[in-house]
Amino acid sequence: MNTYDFVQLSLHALGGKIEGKTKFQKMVYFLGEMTGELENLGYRAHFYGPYSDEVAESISRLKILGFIDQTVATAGSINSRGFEVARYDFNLNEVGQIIANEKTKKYPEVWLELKKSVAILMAKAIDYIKLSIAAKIFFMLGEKKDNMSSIEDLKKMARSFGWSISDEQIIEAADFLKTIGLVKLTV
Amino acid sequence: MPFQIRDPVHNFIELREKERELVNTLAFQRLRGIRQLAMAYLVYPGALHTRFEHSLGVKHVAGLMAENLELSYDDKATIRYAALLHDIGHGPFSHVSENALARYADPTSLKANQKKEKIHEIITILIIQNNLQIIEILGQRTCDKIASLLSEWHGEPVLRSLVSGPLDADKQDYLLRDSLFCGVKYGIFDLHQLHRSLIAYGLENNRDLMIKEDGIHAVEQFVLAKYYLTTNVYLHKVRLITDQMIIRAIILGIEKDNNDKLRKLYSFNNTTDYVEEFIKWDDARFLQTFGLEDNSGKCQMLLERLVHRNLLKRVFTAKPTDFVPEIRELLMKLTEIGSKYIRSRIESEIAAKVAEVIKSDIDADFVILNTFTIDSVKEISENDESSILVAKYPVPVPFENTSNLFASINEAFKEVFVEIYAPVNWQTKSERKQICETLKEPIKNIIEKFCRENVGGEK
Repeated sequence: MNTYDFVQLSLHALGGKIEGKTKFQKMVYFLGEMTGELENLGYRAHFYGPYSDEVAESISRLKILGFIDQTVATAGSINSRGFEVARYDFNLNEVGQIIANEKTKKYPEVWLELKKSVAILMAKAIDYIKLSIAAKIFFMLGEKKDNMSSIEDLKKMARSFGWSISDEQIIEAADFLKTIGLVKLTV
Repeated sequence: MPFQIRDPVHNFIELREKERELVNTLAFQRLRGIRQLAMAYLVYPGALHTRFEHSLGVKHVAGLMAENLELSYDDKATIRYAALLHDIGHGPFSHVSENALARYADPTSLKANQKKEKIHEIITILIIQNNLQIIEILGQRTCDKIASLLSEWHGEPVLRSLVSGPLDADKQDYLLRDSLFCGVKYGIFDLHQLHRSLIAYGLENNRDLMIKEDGIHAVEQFVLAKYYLTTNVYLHKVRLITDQMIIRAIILGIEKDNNDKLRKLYSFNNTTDYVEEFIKWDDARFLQTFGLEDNSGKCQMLLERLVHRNLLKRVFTAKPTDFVPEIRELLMKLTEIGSKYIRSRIESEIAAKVAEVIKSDIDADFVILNTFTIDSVKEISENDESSILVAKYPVPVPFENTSNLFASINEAFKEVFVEIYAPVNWQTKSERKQICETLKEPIKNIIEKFCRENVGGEK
């Protein structure tokens, strides 16, 4: 399955709506991992966590083909210089839903896995910042992710990368990863 | 005193001894015959500059950037060599050749790590690692390091970013150079201010090229320069047509005229023998051989049209959203090699329609369907590489999130176009308007009809 189709189906499985580019990237990342499709999605290390140009390009393509509507929301955020901080929200429109529905028939197994994974992810709804931290920790775990880790291990790793995130945030991210079944934690 | 060359963009470019020797190799001198912007001179008459002076310029810019950063003497030298040689594998008409190389290369000859690279980039690496003149000057070890830097670099990221990345020396030179030679002001930015803004930032031995927090405005200017030059020069209507005519001439020469010499030129097989032959070609030899000597073929006819500036005309332009939803995804793939049969059928039927409207026979092989994208200015800041990063503690942040100007630009302004070029002539604007309006609906219907028949699987 190519990245474009996976991104389209992911958005469809997520109810057709997603708020913010960062959340979109991280959601697709986790859905890729949970459905076994991650290695085809082009994710690579970035200073702010896993990021895929291919996923970004797919979102862009969905827009120009007229399948998703993108709106700019400021959510009331103003930066230190008085400029509004924009957040991009994505909405699979009516035409996009028809096209995506056709794809669910083309890829029935992936679609089933995606729906299951979305249900697990949504049950543990967290905001995009926590989602980003979780994605970053999971990505950096690399080969170690199949082994047992402890919260202390994760804290050490976060510090070694120089991230300014609190112990609470690490615990929350670890808990999230544990709940969705992506890491095994001893504590 | 180092050898100096007068350059219209950077004034004096200094060459150290080995750099001068590299410039004097046959492989490098060939770049004098490869125009930077293919046949863009048919719309911008001044655009006659070549890969030769661009490569000198990239070496100069990379050298300036490397001096500003804390790099070792050896690393600085490697950067300059890599910058000098980065385009040495370009074929006739620069990037236009890439399309034909990708089409006719032997895919089984590509190694796993080469599958995502452009063929001219693979040729560049093969030249650097195997050309005897270059090896004699630099030594095999340095050649291998340069090759690694230009392909799969595993060393410190900042070195790679100087030669390939959103702020690389290549872009900095081509924006200024192409602007100057095209006679436009779109690509102008403050090179030296930009360099003052750069920093090698990150953990030890893992630093990357970033901008300082107070360097945002210099980068804004640089990114906007790239956007304006892309939309006004690189994607100029006539430039798109001339590029497509060269590509079509090559395809017709190989597939319709059965020209073995042409097929051999573009049948890349990953061997040094192939590369040795490939680097004997430049724009002039190509036009002489396939445009003048090989008369009577379709390739020759199309090249002759180019030489005499008897260009195809754009008779149709539309966006994907002008078409019914179910064919839009296929529309985006029509110019891919895998869609060549459906594309050919569409072009044939459109040719018949155009002939009916202009009341004159036209060759269906000279009707070209093209699609292209104009990225939004925000996407242009990212290019196809990663984002430009601002060196902030503790974690760098993307430039587009830090710049007030870019944060306020709606990134949705990206456009894709589907166009048809055909061998028609019109004398006046009103005649053009009449022909294009008459053809608009019929062409749209033809494209939709064939795409509908093929949705879900190319036939």
